[in-house]
Amino acid sequence: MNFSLSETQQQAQELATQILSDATSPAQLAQFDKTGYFDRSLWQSLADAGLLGIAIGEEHGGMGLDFETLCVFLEAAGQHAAPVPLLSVLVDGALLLQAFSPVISASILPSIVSGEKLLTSDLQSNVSVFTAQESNESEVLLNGKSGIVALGNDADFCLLKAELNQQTIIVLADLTQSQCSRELQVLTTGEHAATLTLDNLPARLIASGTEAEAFLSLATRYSQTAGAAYAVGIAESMIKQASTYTADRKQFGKAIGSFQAVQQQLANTYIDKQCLRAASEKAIYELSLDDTSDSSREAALIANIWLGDALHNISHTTQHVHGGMGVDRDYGLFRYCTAARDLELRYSSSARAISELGSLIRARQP
Amino acid sequence: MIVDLNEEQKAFQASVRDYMKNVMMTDDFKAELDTPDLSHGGGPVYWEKMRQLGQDGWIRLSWPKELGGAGADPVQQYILVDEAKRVGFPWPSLSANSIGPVLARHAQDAIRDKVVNEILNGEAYLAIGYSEPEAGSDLASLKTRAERDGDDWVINGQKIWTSCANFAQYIWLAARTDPDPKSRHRGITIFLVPTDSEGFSCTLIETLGVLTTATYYDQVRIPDRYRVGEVNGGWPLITGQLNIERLALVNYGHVAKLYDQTLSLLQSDPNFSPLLEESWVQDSLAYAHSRLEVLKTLCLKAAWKMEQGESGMVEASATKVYGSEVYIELGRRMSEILGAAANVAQGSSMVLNGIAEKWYRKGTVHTFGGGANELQRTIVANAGLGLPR
Repeated sequence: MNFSLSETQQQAQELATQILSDATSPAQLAQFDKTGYFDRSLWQSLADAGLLGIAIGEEHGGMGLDFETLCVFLEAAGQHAAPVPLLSVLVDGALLLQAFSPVISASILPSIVSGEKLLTSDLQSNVSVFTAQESNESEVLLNGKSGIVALGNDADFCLLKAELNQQTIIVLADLTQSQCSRELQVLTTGEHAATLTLDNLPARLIASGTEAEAFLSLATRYSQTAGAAYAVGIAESMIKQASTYTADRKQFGKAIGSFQAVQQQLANTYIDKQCLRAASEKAIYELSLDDTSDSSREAALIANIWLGDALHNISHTTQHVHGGMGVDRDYGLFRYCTAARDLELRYSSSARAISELGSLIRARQP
Repeated sequence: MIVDLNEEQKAFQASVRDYMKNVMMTDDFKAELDTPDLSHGGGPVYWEKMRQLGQDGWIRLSWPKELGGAGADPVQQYILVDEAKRVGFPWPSLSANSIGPVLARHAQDAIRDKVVNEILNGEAYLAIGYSEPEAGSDLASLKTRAERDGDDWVINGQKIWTSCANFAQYIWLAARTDPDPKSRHRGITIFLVPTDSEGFSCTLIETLGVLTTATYYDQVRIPDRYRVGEVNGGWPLITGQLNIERLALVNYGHVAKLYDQTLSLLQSDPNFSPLLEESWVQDSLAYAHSRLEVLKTLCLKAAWKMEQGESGMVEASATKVYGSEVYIELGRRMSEILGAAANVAQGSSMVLNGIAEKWYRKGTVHTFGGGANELQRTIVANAGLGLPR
């Protein structure tokens, strides 16, 4: 057993924390609340520091570090409610593209690492329906309408799943083309998502048939696990804010954080957070051992269940003990709560993950 | 990051598992533990097993080397107790692991070697005499008195919830030696009271789940050599209980037992297997699995922290609260799956040897025993979150 960070991971954490804390004071964050909650200059700073390429191969201009180290970075971003679309671009997009298509990776990923282009994905949606027609060996034409695509309003590229001759395929589409129209959807976090309507949009084929199924299965477990790591950061920060606030805020002549009723509730948030962290660490570990194993699939689902349960409880309780301050837009907590809320529904709800895990247990051989 | 035991630890776990299953939990011992009055130990087979446990070196395993132990680390200690409890062996945690080393450090020379050897050889059990009818979580309000009389001490009072006193050789007793109410914490001394002392008596308390006792001290006269530590210096000996022991109350193997057995019943018994197709059953199993996997990681992580030399206090308290509440919730969910059979205490329709029925009756003790969950949450709030007292 070893739960400590490696030296490289500590350095990545320090570097990320330094850049993020310089850019995320409440006043700085407030500038982006109504403009898509995306700080492009912070994005460029992260790119310049090499952090956007933290888990992207050196051949594409990245640092070539592992998924575990990427998760350390994501946790730090969660701690700062950073107004940058790291999960969309680095996890849902780049990580998967890199694993499945060396050719397309070579043409796209350098521009992602440099911060010049943005990549997202629409693989988790139950709503999106795209049909594809063969255009040539490596390209298809897409038609159809998506559900809500995170970063969809700003992304240059998007990983999509579509149906081609009754088979699932995974493609990479260029959303800047004229055959793609986007309709802006403003999320509770202030982030700009979009629904996409595609009309014969050319897209590059990445995987089909069983390979596409494998792609989706990996996408789910990496996204759920990375989401849980991000959630740990959000949770840590919400709890810290609530502890600091209640230790200072006085009523009846005493700090409200000294009242047993408040202490018991905040102790519960601590326990929930520790559980979420344990589930996240276990899933990261299982994925690094074998990302195709049943254990890694189960561990990722469990991390997702905890993401939903823990964030829901922690964000409500920490807002509650703040009283009005917890919902005041001049006080920073709400950004963490809306980020939590976004994450709770982003990949799979807790209830859906429970149901999937139940099916896996059902199918297990005694 | 490695969220798993290493090879050496896994090999150790396998050897403990094998020993507990094949050497300790023999059919005659299982039958004895099924007898209500002997379910905690104290029967002839229990003492046979305890002596063998001692001879085979398991009791001394986690004791520090300087006290005659093998100096096992907290992870090994966790594995040992986890495996013992997984198969239902009544591991003598409090007597052998919690109190034993404290006694070895603080007892007087005149009795130390004798009692330490008895514990390490599995020949003696020490029951803990802390709680009184009026002193529970607020232990410093205890009233049992010990008064000096020449070379002896004379003890008068009553203790309650003195578990295992009905078969223990000694009571590890906290008594008031300074009656001044201003010195609540500083007026307490620890004594080792042999249970064959004149004036000592014990009555059984039958609870919903477990058997425990009340003990009475009527002019019990013991020589000063049975005093442990300084006069009025008992409080640090009481609060020095190891965090690893708090963890042991809700370790994974113990809490997972009902889920493990329910799932294998559903997988193997044709009367129950159709339930496995029901979505609500699958959801409850998934809920249980998601909670237990986290408990396992929390326990390992807390033990790892202690192995790294950290106190692990906050981790142990948080895990104790979490594990005990998971225990209760899974008792409900697994019983919902088993249905009415979960409530059969005796009769041909009993399932899984009545584990669900016993689980319900014995469960509540987990949330208040070993330090009530409210107190553990207060530790988390103060020490973990830095909230003011």
